[in-house]
Amino acid sequence: MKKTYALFLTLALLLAACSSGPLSGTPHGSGTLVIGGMYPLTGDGAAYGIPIQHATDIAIKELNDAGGIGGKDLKIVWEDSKCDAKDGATAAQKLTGVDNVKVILGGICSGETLAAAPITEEAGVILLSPSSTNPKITDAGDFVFRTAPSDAYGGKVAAEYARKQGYKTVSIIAENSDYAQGLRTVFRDSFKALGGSIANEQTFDPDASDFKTIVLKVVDIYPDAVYLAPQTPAKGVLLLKQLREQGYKGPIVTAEVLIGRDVIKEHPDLVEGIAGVEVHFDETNPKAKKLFDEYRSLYNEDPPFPAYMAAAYDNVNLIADAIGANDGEIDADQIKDYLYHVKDYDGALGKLTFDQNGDPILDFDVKKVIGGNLVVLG
Amino acid sequence: MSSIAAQLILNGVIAGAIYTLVASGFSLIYNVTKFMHFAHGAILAIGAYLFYAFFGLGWAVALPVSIILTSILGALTNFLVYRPLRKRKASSAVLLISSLAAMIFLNATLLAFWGADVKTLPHANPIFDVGIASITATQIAIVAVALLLLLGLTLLMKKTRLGKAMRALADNKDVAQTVGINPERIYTVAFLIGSALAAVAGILIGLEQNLNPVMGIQLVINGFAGAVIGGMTSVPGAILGSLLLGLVENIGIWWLPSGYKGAIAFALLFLFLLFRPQGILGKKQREA
Amino acid sequence: MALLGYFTHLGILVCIYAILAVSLNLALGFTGLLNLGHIAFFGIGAYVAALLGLAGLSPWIDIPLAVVIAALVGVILAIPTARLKGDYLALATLGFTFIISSVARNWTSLTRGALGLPGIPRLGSISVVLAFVAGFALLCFLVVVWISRSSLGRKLQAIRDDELAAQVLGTNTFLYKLIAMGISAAMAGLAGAWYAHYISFIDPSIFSIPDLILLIAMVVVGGLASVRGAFIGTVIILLLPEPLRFIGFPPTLIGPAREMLFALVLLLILLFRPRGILGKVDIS
Repeated sequence: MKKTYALFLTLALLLAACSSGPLSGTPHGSGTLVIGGMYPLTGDGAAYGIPIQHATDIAIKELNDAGGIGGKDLKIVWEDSKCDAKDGATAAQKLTGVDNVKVILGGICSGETLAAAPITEEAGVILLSPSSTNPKITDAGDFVFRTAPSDAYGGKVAAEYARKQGYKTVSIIAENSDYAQGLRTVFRDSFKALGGSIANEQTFDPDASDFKTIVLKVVDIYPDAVYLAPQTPAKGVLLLKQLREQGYKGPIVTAEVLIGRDVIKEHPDLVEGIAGVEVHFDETNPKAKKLFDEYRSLYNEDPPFPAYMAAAYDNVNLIADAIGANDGEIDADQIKDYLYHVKDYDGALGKLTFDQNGDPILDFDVKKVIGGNLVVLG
Repeated sequence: MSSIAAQLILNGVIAGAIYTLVASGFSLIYNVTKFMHFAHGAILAIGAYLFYAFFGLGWAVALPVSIILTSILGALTNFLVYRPLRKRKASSAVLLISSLAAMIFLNATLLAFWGADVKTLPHANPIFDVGIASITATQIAIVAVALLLLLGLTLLMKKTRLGKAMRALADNKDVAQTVGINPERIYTVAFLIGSALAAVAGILIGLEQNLNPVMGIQLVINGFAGAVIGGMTSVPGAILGSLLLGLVENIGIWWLPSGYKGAIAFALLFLFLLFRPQGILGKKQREA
Repeated sequence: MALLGYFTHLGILVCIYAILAVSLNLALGFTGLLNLGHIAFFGIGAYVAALLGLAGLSPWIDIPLAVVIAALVGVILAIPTARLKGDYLALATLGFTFIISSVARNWTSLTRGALGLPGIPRLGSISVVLAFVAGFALLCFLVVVWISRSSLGRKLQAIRDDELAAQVLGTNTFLYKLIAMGISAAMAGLAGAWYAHYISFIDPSIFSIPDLILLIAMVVVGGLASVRGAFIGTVIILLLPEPLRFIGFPPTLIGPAREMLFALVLLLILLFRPRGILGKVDIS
């Protein structure tokens, strides 16, 4: 009986391996350069993963149409990391172990990036994320880079703005998930360090839809301002709606979710007057514009996450440039050094420089919704 | 009474009313069929999404169409999943797992058809200021419907032939059969009514809190808790328990960190299961 | 050779989940306890090992401690819930899982909440980890097989089949339920501790209800009260979605399609083989 189990296990593992990798039927000719990609393509994270994947694919196609890298086409092997740690680890293992890539674009969610990092570090493989913002990624490894800022910054800029406006007391309402929690912690610490006081701090579960009592507590205290950190637009809108309904009429400071273009378009009255903090990103710069026009024509919708998509686009080109500087050969160590030396790279996201930890040095803007338009303040 | 305190209690009542909407259908089905139909949450969500789909045709069309379709879907689930299992003498544990599987299947269908993003139902929703508190039109509707349900279901169970047949079946299936009650037929009716109630719940909740594919899961868990607290064997009990749950949750997070809101429901549930498993209005279950 | 790394990784995951399935089987299949809290013990083991490991303790200490604490929690949970029947036990244990999940998410000063615990020390190369985890899986397997053939096992199965009769015949069913839960929880804690040290990052999503349903599916599909069945169920459920990559679904449909397939398989097994592939009993 033991023999049948051994056989079964081998067959099962073989089946799993066959479903991807060298036997899965994607030909890798000798004239192609292969890199890996791990984004969430199914599950909740797919709402981010799939559009950003489209942007990445657009960048690769553009590159190849223009002659590729030294005449060779760039090809990407995609794995689904499902916005989950163990799937991120599996994706990284598979890409480094089976497909033998030296560069992986991704993850999108911080959890999958953090789980992949030890694996890529050990394998000496580049991990380049366009959107993972957990502060801990700063120290995740020498080969780990990202073109999205650590959450540590968005909260700090918001706190500075709040103090500059003269708000003395602020209530915080944040969703209980990693991005929002990062913002909340940093905002709280920065605001207090600048002399302000936190009236109260509340969190809500990602599954919650009823915030009436949470906001009632804020109304009861009636602070000078409220800092809102939802993780998704849907929750943010619901939260804001209930905050206003229960009677808080004061100023609102937030990060980027509530000042998303879709949100402003669909709920102009609700978000009128709120101030948000976003990575400085000029959507009209020529590279970004070209990317978004292409996206619109292919997929018939406005790009849902312009900043992350521009970052993903730039990531492809950064890697391509690095490979090109090495005579078209992929060498992870060389790419690593190249990336650390990138200075003022002119990309769709704007000017890009990496710091000594592989984090991007980016500017932040404070923007206010005035008359249905997003206006950049000082 | 201070304005804040009044608003707090009102918030609790509204939350309780929402749970009531969920618990009523759920409890009806449990009482008659004696197992936990977890997929009720998915049926609820489908009811909301069907309403959304037909919303463009106006309320007069969308409302009845979505309720009827959902009702049929619920009965179909019973017919295709639970009935065959009951015929094979499956235990309540197997039925519970099968209802989890049905829930997963229905949720996935929802996701496939409508996608993962949140849908809104734009509608006029004036806020009414009743002096010390404020309430919106949708919220008034929710509370009103919950009260109607309490009345309606109690009347159904106590006064109608159908209700009596349901109670007889719930009390003792074998004896009920000997007096000519056809269990499968009554189960079908229970699923039809219960799923229609789920659709009503889904629609109202969708109006109040917007639609997302997993809206049913959290709600059915809270509705569950409410039903157990009030007494699974009593439909008015389920409604009472849900109301109590809504109040305790909201008043509880006035003092406790708000992140624990979901846990409060479970802590309360836990306490009841330990010390009074039959709930507030329930009767002690006879060993089957 | 690098292919081996991928296989090894899958092997490690299979072994960790097999430990979970086998231990759940002990509670569910052998003793008839509809324990929906199993994933809580997994998560508790993971968090204890992670926190102690990050504080600098050697894995020789933090892993056994994770096991002990998970076992203790299992026993503590069993005490008040022992007299609950079937559905109510399921509900209470489910509630327990939610409460623990809430604590992990909100007690941010201890667990860092939603930000999770990254950088948990890894314990050597993946081949070493596989060796250890496979060894522990085998150990748990053997323990449960030994229990099933011992008088302890007979008492547990008697409790499952007819608790009242067992009591009448003088068995202290309360005590045996505690023992079953304790051992089951200890193994789950072990799986959790190794998971934490291998994946190197955990967050409150480890207490996921979907994973719990997956776990129950593993046990049911493989067959209740069959230890080998639990192992087979694990392999099938973990690797079932893979062939779906061949079918050319559009990306937005792959996720739902996978879930529908999974639910259908589960339902079909319940309908036509309620005992599972190798199971000996129905859940009654």
